Amino acid sequence: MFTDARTLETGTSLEVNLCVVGAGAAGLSVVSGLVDGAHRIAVIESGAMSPNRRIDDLSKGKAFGRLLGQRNQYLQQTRTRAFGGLGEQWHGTCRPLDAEDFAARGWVPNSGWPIDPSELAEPYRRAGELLGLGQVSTAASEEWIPNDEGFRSSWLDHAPRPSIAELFSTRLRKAENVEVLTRANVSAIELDDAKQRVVAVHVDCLDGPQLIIRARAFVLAAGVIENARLLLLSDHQRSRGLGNEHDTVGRFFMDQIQAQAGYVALLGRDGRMSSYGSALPRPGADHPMRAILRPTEALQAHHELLNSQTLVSPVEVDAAGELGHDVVRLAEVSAALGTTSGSPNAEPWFGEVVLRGEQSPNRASRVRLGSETDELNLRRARLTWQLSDHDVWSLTSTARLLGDSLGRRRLGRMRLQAMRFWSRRHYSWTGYQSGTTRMSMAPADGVVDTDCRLHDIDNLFVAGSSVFPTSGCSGPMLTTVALALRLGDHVNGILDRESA
Amino acid sequence: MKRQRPTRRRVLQHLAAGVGLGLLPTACRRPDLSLMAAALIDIASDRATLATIGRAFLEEQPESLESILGRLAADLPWSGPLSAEELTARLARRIEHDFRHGATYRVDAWILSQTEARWSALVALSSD
Repeated sequence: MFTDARTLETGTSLEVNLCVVGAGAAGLSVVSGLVDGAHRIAVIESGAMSPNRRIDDLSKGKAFGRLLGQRNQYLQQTRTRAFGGLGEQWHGTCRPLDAEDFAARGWVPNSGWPIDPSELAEPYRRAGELLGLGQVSTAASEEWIPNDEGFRSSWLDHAPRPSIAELFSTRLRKAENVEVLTRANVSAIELDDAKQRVVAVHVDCLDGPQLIIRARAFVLAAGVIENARLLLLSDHQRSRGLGNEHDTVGRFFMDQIQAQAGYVALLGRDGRMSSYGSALPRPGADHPMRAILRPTEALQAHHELLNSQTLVSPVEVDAAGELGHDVVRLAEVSAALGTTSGSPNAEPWFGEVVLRGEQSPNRASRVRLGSETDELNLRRARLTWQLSDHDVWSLTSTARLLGDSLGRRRLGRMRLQAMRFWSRRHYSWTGYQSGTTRMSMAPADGVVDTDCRLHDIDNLFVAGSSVFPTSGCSGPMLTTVALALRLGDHVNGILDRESA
Repeated sequence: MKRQRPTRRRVLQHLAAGVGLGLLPTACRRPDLSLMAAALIDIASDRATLATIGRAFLEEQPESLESILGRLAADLPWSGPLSAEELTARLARRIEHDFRHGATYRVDAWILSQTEARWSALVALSSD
């Protein structure tokens, strides 16, 4: 059931078992397994069913960072206040985290997850089904570019219908135990007298009523920036905000960065290079897939690289520079040296190379509350996005190593752009945000435990990529949904036990 | 000042006469470098392409003929006359070695092995 919160009267108090704040991919996935169940659920969404400029204005805030520019609109551009959330800007790409993302790597401070990757195997499978992928591809593919000790090919799954709102709206409209309140903004989180449990959230509507939602369990699923902001705003009972006894809320903000690395000229073999150029239907799979390249764990460890993925898109030879044809011919001549195979017969293939990499977790990269307030008189977010030289250097080095690898294996050559360090022409943000309420074993190191519960609040949980302690190089959607499904099961179990 | 490009014959005569050998690294002061140069030029199956790449390389990273030959002789390595098969095999191995160890040059931003860049430069110098 959907309700526009403005139609309710001021002072309305809803009593439910579970209150989920945010109707994006994370929040809706938490609810997914509880639809038509025994527990009453309220989903509180700030936006309407489609984006609205006045509501989006609530997302404004100041953001500082070397890749952002002075008058940036990063905080608005990377957030959507509407049913479906940022999932409505999603292009359908899905990929699980890699095994090395879960490990603490010596050359990446604060890296690793406090859970074993095997704990996400089943949630990943369910997330794939939920997003319409059927089976998620985890095995490395042996495509045209053969795997070696340096780089491996892997699949990027593409969901056939990449609309989170469409995925959930029909089911939720019919659900008798779920009420979705739209245009409802959480303005405060209220604790009990012992300050150990959340008893209610207070809701304000633009030009509308003020409401109270009481529940036994609460899930914050409002996005990387907003999850931290809501915890920091709730400072009337705990002066530092909720979950922030160790000054960890808002810290370790991360975005993946992207580099236009240059071009590749690959010696012709056959048509399989098209797998790298775009997502295509594949035999045995019920959804399109695209091949990517990734540095192996061994290469990352040897060169102290961060995890990254390389996308190669076809271009005309002219785009690759005047010498493109000559370089291919030289590569063919070199490849034929000392062999009896001769030159390849097929046409060479030219591609533009884009690398997308994780940033190393950085405590100084953080979301705080600014001094300006929004229309609801709540302090706006203020982001200081801190990248390190290592984050940028790693992408450049990976591109160079890819060029060396192609040459060594007689596959072709790479034209590596002169990437000026920190130049916004060559490096950019992706909006694949994570961190700010990171998962940790100890309260001093993060905000939530391995069940995504705040370390110091009994019944407040967080869903979404804000709990990622390490982001990896994949888009966060699949892992977000997998973790949210896992959290939904966990909360359902708690509610069942309490009811019994 | 525009650099004077020697013809192939002049390259070989130059080497045969030992002119400029004083500029070579001590390890490469061998009169048979002219044979190596001729053999490397002969196994280049597409001299026009290699010459184009070689000119671009020399424009960006000027290197003397003596230096080019000295490095090629040291890297292949060349210690006396080789069959064409052995020379091509050594060249292929050295190109792979270059890429494996990051011994590369950028020519118009393309990542090329140092050996293939010098080989191309030798062909360029001999074909002008």
